[in-house]
Amino acid sequence: MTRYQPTEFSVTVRAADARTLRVAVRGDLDYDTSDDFALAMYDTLHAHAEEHGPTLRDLHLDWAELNAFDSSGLSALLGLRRRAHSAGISLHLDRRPEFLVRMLQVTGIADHLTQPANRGVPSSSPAIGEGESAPMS
Amino acid sequence: MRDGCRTTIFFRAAERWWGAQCVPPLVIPSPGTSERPRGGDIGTAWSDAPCPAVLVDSGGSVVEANDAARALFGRHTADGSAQSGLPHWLAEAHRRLGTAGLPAHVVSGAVAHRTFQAHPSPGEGGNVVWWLVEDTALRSAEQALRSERERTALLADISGALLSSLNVDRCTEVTARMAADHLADAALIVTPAQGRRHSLTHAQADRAVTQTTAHIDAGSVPGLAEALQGFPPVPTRWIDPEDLPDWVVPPGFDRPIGSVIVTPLPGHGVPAGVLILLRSSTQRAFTDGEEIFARLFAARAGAALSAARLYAEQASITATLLQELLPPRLERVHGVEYAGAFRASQDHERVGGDFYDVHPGADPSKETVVVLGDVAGKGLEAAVLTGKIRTVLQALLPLSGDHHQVLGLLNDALLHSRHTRFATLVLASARRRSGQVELRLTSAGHLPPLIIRADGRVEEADTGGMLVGALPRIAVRSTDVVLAPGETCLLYTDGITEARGGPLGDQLYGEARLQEALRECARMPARAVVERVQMIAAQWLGEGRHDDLATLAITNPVGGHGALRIVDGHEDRRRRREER
Amino acid sequence: MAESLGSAAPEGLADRLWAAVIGRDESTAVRTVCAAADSGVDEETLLLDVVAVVQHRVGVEWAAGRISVAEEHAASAITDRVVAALAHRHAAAAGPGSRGRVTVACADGEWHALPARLLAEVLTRRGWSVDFLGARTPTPHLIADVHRTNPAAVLLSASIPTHLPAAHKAVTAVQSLGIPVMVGGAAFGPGGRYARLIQADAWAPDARTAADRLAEGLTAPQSSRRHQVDDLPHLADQEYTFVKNSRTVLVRQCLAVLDERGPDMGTHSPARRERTAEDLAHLVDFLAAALYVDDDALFTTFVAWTADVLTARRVPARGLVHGLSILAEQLHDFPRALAFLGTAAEALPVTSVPPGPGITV
Repeated sequence: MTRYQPTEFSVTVRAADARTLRVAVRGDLDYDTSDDFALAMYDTLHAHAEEHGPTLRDLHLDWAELNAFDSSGLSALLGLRRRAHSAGISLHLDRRPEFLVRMLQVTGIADHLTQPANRGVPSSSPAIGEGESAPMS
Repeated sequence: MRDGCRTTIFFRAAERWWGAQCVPPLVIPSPGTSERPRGGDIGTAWSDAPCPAVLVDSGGSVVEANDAARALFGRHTADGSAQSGLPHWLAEAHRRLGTAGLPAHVVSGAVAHRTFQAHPSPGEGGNVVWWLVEDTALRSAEQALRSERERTALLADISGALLSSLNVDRCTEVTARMAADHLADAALIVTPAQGRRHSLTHAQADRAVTQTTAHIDAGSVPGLAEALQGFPPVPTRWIDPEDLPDWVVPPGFDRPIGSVIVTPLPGHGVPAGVLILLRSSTQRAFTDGEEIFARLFAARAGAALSAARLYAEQASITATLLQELLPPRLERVHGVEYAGAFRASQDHERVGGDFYDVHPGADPSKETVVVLGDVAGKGLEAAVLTGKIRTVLQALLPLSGDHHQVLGLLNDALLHSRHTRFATLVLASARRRSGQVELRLTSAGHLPPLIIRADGRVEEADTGGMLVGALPRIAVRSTDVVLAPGETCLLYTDGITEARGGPLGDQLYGEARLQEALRECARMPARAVVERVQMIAAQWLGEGRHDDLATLAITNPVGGHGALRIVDGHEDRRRRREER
Repeated sequence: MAESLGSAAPEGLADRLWAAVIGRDESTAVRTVCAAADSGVDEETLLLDVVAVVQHRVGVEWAAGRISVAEEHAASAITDRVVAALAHRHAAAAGPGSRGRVTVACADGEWHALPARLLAEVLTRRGWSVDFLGARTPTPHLIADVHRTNPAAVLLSASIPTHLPAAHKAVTAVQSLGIPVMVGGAAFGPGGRYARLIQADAWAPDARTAADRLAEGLTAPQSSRRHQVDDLPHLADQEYTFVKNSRTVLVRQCLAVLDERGPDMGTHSPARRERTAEDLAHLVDFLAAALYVDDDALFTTFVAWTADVLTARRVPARGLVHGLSILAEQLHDFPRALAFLGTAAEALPVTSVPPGPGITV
């Protein structure tokens, strides 16, 4: 009660069907939790694929209860985008708090993160952004 | 020691017996010719009593002695005895008892190399029975316990003192000091050779410890060369003082040397050195117990010394590696002030994921290139990546006229490296022209620099772009800014604006507060601006956790270009270097 | 080093430096002092009787509301450059110190580096090799440096009493290595009373005394003595720990009370509210420091000084009285804290200041 205590970090599946997955991210996504985030998203996507097969098209991340976000969080998000796109899944960043909007604006990668995934060529290559068009002029 | 109950009963019985029979004075007979007093059972009890007892009259003469006393005093040599045949200490105690009329005190002393406590029981007519209870074994046990305790306490002290410091010189000094104070008259520590020279640390009582390095022949002291090897362990050696070379004897030690021992200081796999203990011939030689103690001491000292040596080596390696990663010291270059400040996220660290550099132009007509940036992550790992980025940027300096090109090439370099981490940064090119400082600023995914105008307005530089190292191609937008005298361009990392704290504990510091604070920084020197911002951030944070905090100010000084270079000629050196 | 012609600073030199510093004229400031050094004025005199005097005046002027915090920073930056210029002159003229090695540092959190810097310069001129670690030295850095350099002594500076716990930590840590620590600076109280309390090996009221005292030699502490620290038995009541750890809760509660009592109590605009919160936080910080050393005078002095600062800015000090009483309501279970708050409130002058533009706590 005395000092600022970070809200417990959590990743929760809000809703899921074959094509769409909605996930809420709560607390601080930062240096200390970015690995947890990556693992949790990996597990979530894996579980979805187990249940439905490779049908997922849209991954919605709800940020309404995000408390803080730093460059490690951004790094984790870039990693997620890479994995999602290689499976033909598009990212959607919903209900962004002001600081997240600012972070994405300053770093210039909002469009890159939410670019629709290319369904035609499901690539399994881990190379970053391979086969993508330049996201910004 | 309190009288035991049994003694008291015995004493009562004897007193009655003395009262009844007036025993004539007797000279203590020689052992074996015991003449037992008559008087039935009580007399037998007295004479057969296991502890020596003597009846002494008021004049100090022995009236009667039992068998045990006769046997004991018969063995006592005459020179330790008063005329009465009693040992001096007992005769003296008896006299004091008679004259002062003091309450009966237990006294103790030695008889025939054994120690006794003598308990007086005053009887009639100034007669006193002295019961002698032997405590030789107890005393020697107590003595042994005491010295053992002293040694244990000393070892604990020594360990505490030795393990406190991780400085090799200090550890060596403390070891020598303690050895000279507790083990010998003088002590010398010889450390394994550094190159061809050994370090010699001399200590003796009441003198300062001296440390010198010298070229010595280890073979000149028997056992020294082996002990310096450290392994296999060699036993402590006793040496003939005649064989000692001069350098073993501490400077100013003028007494003849009586005994010497050489003990290795065992390290953790590496030899820590050798301890040589010297005693002057006026002191007794080392006992076996002391030698064992010296070895215990050496074991602790050796462990502490090798820990200190390991720490020093590690610290020196770390310092060498960190040197390249530490933020540089900044100063005025070609009439433009630069000042930077960095605070790592962890107080015990000196480096992190924030970085900055200033690359001075070859001459005042050339641009000075400034970079400030941030990679994801913290601590050494992040710092290593910043080191790579700084190196790449340095290599790209010849292209710095075109920020887009530099950032594009940096992006390629990071993309194709094994790391998949990215960086955000601001590039600035600065040049002073006719009293103005012209800046070209380009942000690659980084917070835009803030311009503090001389009138206190704070503007955000109109530059933006994408972070480097994550996407195959990046786009950036540069801007030109002119600083009039007293104006500053502040580059900073988001550790400042994302500092969480304040009086309510959980608020983000934020860009608005920073801009508000910077309004007060118009016409301030660059150094003052960065310190002010760092201080505000530190106060906002209190003791809360935080990210790396970096700030860099580029200032057109109020004093104008005439302003002097006052800091240590660094700039000259740099210029010379670049001219070469 | 130039031959010294005398130990007195030339008439008016401090005034001239003051004018240059406050006019943000760095080059004139540096030139003024260097010219005096060139003409033979003793450098120690310049440092302690000119530069330090000017810096002291900067603090006084700020407290009196005649210069802003930013101007204070600007002035400090310039005096720092003046000291650097003198250091540069000296370094060019003198060789390495012959007297031994010492470390000079500021306690963790302490931003006022100039007193320590001046001390470092004085010691350098007296023949010591000085490792100057600068402002706010984290204790781990200090200890690592001490391990590396094995100094004869560490000299630790602190100006603000809220850094006393950090200074105490640094002092015991260095002493546990068997190295003596001398402390100095306003934080250690009148006559250095808190220096004795935290069992520093020595205390000096100023740089000259520190240098003299150091020359006499300090007795190394027995390292084992400092492995267990029980300097402050009064901490057993946990009041310090509670107040320190409850800082933000206390501030929030006080703000809530102010909100209840009406919009005129210093919380009517977000900016005003944040100032009020900061003022309350400062009160809590100094109360905690006073509890740490168990001296109500520490808190009373701070409150009186704050009252002066507020008065100089035409802010009525009754806001301060009000803040003290609200804080006391929150701390009713803490007898030491309550007593300190009471003593401080009584010491405030009950002057009726004309209503200013706002009320701060």
